[in-house]
Amino acid sequence: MNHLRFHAPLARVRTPGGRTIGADMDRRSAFRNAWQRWGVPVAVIVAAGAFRLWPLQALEARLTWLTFYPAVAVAALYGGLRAGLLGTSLSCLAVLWLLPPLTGQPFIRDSADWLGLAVFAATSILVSGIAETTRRANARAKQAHEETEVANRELQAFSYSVAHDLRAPLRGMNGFAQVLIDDYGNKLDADGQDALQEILLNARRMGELIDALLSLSRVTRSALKPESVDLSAVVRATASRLSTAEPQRTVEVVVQDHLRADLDPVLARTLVENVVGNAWKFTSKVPAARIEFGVAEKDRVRAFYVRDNGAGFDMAFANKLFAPFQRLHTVAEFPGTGIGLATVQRIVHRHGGRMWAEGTVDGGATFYFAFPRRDLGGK
Amino acid sequence: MNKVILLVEDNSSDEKLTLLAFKKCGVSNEVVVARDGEEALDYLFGTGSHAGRDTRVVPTVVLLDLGLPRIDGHEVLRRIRADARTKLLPVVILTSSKEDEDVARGYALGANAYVRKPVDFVEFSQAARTLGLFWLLLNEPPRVGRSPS
Repeated sequence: MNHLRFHAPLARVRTPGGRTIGADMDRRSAFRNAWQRWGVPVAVIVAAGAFRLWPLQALEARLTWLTFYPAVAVAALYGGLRAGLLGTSLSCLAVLWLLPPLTGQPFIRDSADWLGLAVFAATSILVSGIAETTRRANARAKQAHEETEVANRELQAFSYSVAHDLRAPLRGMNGFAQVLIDDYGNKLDADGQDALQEILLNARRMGELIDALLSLSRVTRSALKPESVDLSAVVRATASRLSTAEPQRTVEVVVQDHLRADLDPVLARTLVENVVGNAWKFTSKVPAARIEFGVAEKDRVRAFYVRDNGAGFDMAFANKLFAPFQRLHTVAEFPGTGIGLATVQRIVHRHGGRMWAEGTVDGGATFYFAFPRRDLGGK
Repeated sequence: MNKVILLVEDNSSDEKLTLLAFKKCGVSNEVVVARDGEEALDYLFGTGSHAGRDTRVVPTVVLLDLGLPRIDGHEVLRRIRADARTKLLPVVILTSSKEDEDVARGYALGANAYVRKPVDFVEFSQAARTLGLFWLLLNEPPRVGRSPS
């Protein structure tokens, strides 16, 4: 497993100019470009002129530009500014010199007709300009989207190789240290054995960190499938699982009923498990531990909260709470990887929500998370 | 008849650890080690470096790593299942990954079991012990590669 397994990112490679590499692709896109820039304007103006000749010649010299307005708009939409200007010029050319010999009647006779031409030209240039801006914005958005896709795929490949390739050497370290303890432990004094135990401990801890990091990246990668989730039920299930795992602890868990939110059910469970697990962990040193789940009005936003009366934290470090690997306590005080709340915040963000915390040292902590309005409320 | 285990593993540390784990829990069967996918297939089909091997001797179980150089684990499994001689051979995927896609793909290609190698050696030994116990003692293997006599 000494090789990295990066999946091939994209078969098509784009240059900064946005052109696709590859001879065949090049020829096809060049043809499409020429068609949009020259073909479409010429075709629609010819069609507009023909339409003006028949059946609209019944109008005689009235509404001269009737068919040319939409024609220029279509040309601009397809080909941008240059196609719009080409269409405008062709229209003027047609009205001034091409149509009169065919109909036996001039269209531009007095200053009012010239004014009509000027208004047509000004409007057409404006429309072409707007079309060009829209086209550019779309192209930029498309390129940004493609770049994000590539970045996501690379992240996925990266996580995959982290999962595989980082764990293997770790297993080696842990395994051979264990072999030394098992088979050669009696040849070492207490310090030597202690050193080996430290190696084991650190290898195990790094394994946990890798797993936590992977679960954090999985939260970012998986597709969202939101549905109405009964958060109250998830909180209760999590609390009962925690108390089964640590039956010696008595924690009062107070849950407001039937609180629902439109969330991805898998991520919702991860969210609740982390926040409630966090409260559970940090109340382990208080005699009458209490964890509350409910909904409250906070800064005119209805927010879910999980409140505990545990170790709390200093508000000065509130910004560090949600950063990965940041911990406000030592592992000896409270175990953990420093990934849980980072995962939670990422889940809340992915659902378009917001997360924040309040607390005091030894006065407990409250974690709030709020989602866009429609997702809130009881049943 | 002695039951042979085929271990397909490219990482020499993992190979040693697996063999050690088997030794510690008393699995004394012969373990043939293939260090990449090609060698594994050569062994199974008696080709390449294993040309002329008596292919009637079929391993009782194949322990297959996924991330292998040249021919990867999934491809090895696909070819094992595609050949009439090894179609029914018990294959256990033994790998670092527990990515859902890998697990799903492994089973889709016809793996009999999927085991994630734990980082902790005590757990690893436990897993090796359980694997040995199940596949060598409890499981009744199909009669593969042997012509009915």
